Amino acid sequence: MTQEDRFRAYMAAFNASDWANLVPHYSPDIRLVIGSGRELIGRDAIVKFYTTVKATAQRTIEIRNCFADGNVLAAELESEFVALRDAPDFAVRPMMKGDRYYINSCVVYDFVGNEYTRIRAGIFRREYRPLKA
Amino acid sequence: MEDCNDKKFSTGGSRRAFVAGAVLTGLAGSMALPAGASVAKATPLAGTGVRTPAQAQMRQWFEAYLAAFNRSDFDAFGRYYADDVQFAGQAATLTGRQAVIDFYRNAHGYLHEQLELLTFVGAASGNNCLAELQTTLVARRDWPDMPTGAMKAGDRRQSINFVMYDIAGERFTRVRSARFSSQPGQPT
Repeated sequence: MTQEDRFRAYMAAFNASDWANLVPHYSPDIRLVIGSGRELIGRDAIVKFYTTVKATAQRTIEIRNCFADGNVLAAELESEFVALRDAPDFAVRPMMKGDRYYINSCVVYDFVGNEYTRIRAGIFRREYRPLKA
Repeated sequence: MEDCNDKKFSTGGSRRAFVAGAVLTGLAGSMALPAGASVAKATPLAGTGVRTPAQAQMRQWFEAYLAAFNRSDFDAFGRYYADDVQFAGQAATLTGRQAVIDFYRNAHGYLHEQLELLTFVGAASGNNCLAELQTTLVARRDWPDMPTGAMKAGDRRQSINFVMYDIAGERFTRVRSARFSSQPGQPT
């Protein structure tokens, strides 16, 4: 399996909220910096964070591009959050039920073997798409 | 999605345009391959990752670009841009090589800009690369209208950005920058 194939499997597990198949992709001391700059340390912190996010908003991530070189993989992702309920304290910004939030991001994955050890995201473009414009 | 075919980078005729920059990085004459790159086999790295000779060569090509940029050699680094490049930087969104060069010619009149390559990821296809760049700006003189915030002479500003380059014909056709920032977390 190439690193790109492994990455696609990882994202498929993420989109399916398949934590059992997602977690083994992370090293135990994984550090993940999301687009806002917030850093999550450790597998449990990541699962806890995304469990909360996904309880509030449906999120689908599409891989626009990915490529590996040495022990680093770079990916361009497109995400859309759709708020499932009113969420004034949502992770990226206050959202009302039905609002959408689009993010086009660039993410860098350091890996050792088959485990990601560090993941860092930056945002190319973000767009708030309220249900009631 | 990416093309995972391993494209040998920078052996075509257009590569000659970059010879001047390559000399800066220690390559002599025509584009010499990096040490060991003549072996047409991916090189395993610690941690199971691999880097192909073409990817190693691509990195050298990119480093020559940065060297030209850092010495404000507008002709040399300008040659890396396609005529109709789409450029979305932190300070400007521009179309076309001349617009990019004009922007930096103006900017470098106000400030010294140094780019340091922290991470490089080159696609085996040769169609993309990602650079993690640390940008250090030092204002030479006051620039109240600096697009990302006014600077006074002597001010120093530093940032880290992920920059994605689309490449065709060994020129950047699209350049997009994403600011990276981190607020350290606590282990759980």
